[in-house]
Parts: sequence; C-alpha cells; structure tokens
Amino acid sequence: MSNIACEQLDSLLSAYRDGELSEAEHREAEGHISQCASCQNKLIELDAVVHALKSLPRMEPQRDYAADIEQLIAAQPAVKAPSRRRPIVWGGIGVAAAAAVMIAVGTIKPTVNVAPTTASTAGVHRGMEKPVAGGDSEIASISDSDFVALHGGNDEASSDVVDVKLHHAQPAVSGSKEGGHNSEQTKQEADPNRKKNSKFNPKVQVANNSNVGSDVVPGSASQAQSRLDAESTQVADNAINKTNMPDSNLVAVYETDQKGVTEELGITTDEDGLYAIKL
Amino acid sequence: MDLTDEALIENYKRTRNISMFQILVRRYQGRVFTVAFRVLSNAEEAEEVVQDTFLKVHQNIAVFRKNASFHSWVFKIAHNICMDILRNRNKRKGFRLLSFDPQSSMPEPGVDSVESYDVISQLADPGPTPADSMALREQEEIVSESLKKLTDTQRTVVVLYDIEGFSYEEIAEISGTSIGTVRSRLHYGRVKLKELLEPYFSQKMSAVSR
Repeated sequence: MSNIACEQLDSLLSAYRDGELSEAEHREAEGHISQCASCQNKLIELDAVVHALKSLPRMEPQRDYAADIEQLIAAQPAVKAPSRRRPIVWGGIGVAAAAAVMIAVGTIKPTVNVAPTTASTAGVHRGMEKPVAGGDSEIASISDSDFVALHGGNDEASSDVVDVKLHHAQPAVSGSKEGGHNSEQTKQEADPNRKKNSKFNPKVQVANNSNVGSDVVPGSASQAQSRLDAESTQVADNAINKTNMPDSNLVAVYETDQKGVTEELGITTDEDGLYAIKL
Repeated sequence: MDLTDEALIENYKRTRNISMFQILVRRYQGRVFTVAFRVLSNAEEAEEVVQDTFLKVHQNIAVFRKNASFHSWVFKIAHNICMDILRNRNKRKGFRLLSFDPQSSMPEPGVDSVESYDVISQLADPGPTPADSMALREQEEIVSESLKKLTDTQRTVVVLYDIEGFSYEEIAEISGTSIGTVRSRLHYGRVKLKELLEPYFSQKMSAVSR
C-alpha cells in the first residue's frame, strides 16, 4: 500500500481521474488506488457524475446572433460611456471651470441631454431606465447648465431616482418626468424648506441663480434638449468645494442618503458636457 | 479548410468584412449559450449573455492579442458577464433555495424549465426509444436541478470542465483563479453532485436489479 492515506488522496481524486495531477502525484495516487477498494469506488462514483453531466444536451439560443450581429453592432451607442471611477474628461476641473465661465458670458448655448450609457444593447435598456441611480452605468449627461444640483427624487416612492435640476429661462425638457414645470412649481421645488426636507444632503452646490427652471429626471429624459438663456446665468464658483474630491476629474461631490444608504455622487465633464455620476 | 478563430479575427480586423465575424459568432453562440444557461439556469439571461459577449468581443477586437486563444477569451468575457448577473441577482433577491425531490420530474414553481430546449434535442436524436427518452429526460432534469444546488463558483467550474471540456489551466484563466482553486472547486462540486444524485442512482440501480 502506498504511503498516501485515503483522506489525503480524497481531494486529489478528481484531478487524478482527469489526468491533471503532476507526475509525482499521479504515481503516488495510482499506487494507493490500485490497492484501495474504497478509493476505487469513489472513482467509479465520480465517473458516474461526470457521465451524467456529459449527457446534458447542447443547447442553442433562440436567436441567431450571427445573422443579427451587424445590426446589434450598429445599434450600439457610438460614444462609450465613461466608467464610474474614471470618467473620460478633457481636463478635469480646469475645463469645467472654463466651460462655466463661457456659459456665464453666453459663449455656449447649452442643451440638456441624457447620453446613452452602456456598451451593450441589453445594457442600454437597463441604463436608459435609470441612468443616474440605476445599475452599473449610472451616468446622466448634461451638455451644460447654469445651475446643477442633485437631490433626492421628486416623490418619496422613487427616492432612488436622483434629479438633475436645471434652472433657465425657457424650460423645454420634452422627456421630463412630469412633462415640464411651470414657474410656480419650479419655485416651489427650489424652496429652501423643501431642500431641507430632502433626503439629499449636498456637500457642494456647483452654481446658483434665481431663474426659473425645470426638473430633469435623467431616466426619463433620454432625448430631452433645452436651450438655456446663458446670459442670466451666474456661476457661483466659490460654492465649489474642491477639497475632499475622490477623483481629480470631478467638479463637485455630493452625498445622498437614500433608503438609509449613504451614497456619493459627483459631477464630472467631458466633451458632451457635465455628467452626474454615482461614485 | 476552415479558418482558425485567430485567422478569422485577423482577417476581420484587416478587411472589416462582417462575414468573418459572423463565422466566429456562429461557431461559439451555442457553446456560450449552453454555459450561460447551465450557470444561470435562466434562458432569457443566457440569451443576454450571448448577445453581450459578442458585442464586447467586437468592441475589444482591436486589443485582442495575436497569439492569445480566442476560445478562452470569448468564455472569459461570457464568464464575467455571468458573474455580474449572479452578483446582481444575489444582491436583489438573496440566494434562492430549492428543494430537491429525486422522485419528481416537475420543475419548481418559478424556476425556468429547460423543456423547450430539451424537447428539440430529444426530437433530433433518433436513437433512444420513447421509454429511453423519458428516462433520459428525467435524468437530465435531475442533473440540471442538482447543478443549481452547487455554489456559483463550483457550478461554473463543473460546467466549464465536464460539459464544455476546458482544461484546468484554461478554466483558471477564464475565471481568474489558480489551478489549485479550479481543482478544488471541481472536486467538491462533483462530490456534492454525487451526494445529490445518489438517491436517483440507487433507485435506478434497484430498478435494474429487480
């Protein structure tokens, strides 16, 4: 009988059966098994399991992806969304600050846009449902804004939806969650008490002004576009807290308290404008 | 003669002739679907894995190294997508517990049945008699249900080795673990399956000896 004990060999039996042991291990195992009825039985049982697994039928998907692949590739978004931790940006804070100044003097006519966020088609569906607070690709794009603030959702039932608030003279957000707001509604939402009651507790506010505006729920505003009156914009640079930012590309960092879970949100920028990202 | 996977990729990169890429998709879609279905036990999610895998392959085709194995690369991508789905599923629902009854051939309520796929396979096979087919169907269902009771990592390794025929080394590469871990997961996965299938096997044996 070999020096190796049954207990020692036990964990090696599968690899022995599969011929995946080293030469030395194999020799030792073989020496033991040839004289041990118990280990021989275990090998037979393993064989039966493997045989049963191999008897499972090969399956085919219902759809022929080979025939459809060209369409699927074409349906993918042209611009890849930046990753959560490393968004694609031009030049981080410097660019964002420059953009903010350009908005302030009216050089840029900003638009609101929620970008496609995922690489895969299936992912696009998921991403489009909740680009900001949903699955892995939680990015909403705003080409520009004179005021950007993230806060808890409009209603308590959707507290995991984070709104991106844009204040401008002519709210024209076609995909807005509530189909656009009038001035009264907007003012109401801008009410400091409401903010106080909101679950969202921003460390930083990027900018501020007194213009009327509209709420944009990124998840439902995939095609939303809005021209902003940049001349009436003021960017409160001094409100930007540039300390404690986890990523040098971030313009601002927020903290939310949703369903008892504290989450950090940030605003970053790329060639399409500002992005709200979940950190 | 058929072009190798790597030759097809090089050709596609050079010519952008989509038919080259289509050959690759056709070559692998069934295998990717089988692995995803066995790992996820859900046909809809398995379809999603197939689609996302080939889109990711296409997206990253430029960075595919000439001397690498396309075969392992495809399954590594598919494996990662499966793991993401399992992670999300576990986060959402917690682990699903299934009771196991070797006497029953009915799927658990709410558990996706493999019926539609198995029926096609059975009809395509002219060999077994109806009685044999029934026995085979029963065994397939019992083995499939037992597979679901393994841990995600054990099940993945068992599927990749015993169903798909990858080597330990390839599985280590696909799943991003060591060969030792693969060896251990495979063995304990099989041992657990043996325990789960034992009542069925002993029942079959006693039926034969009667």
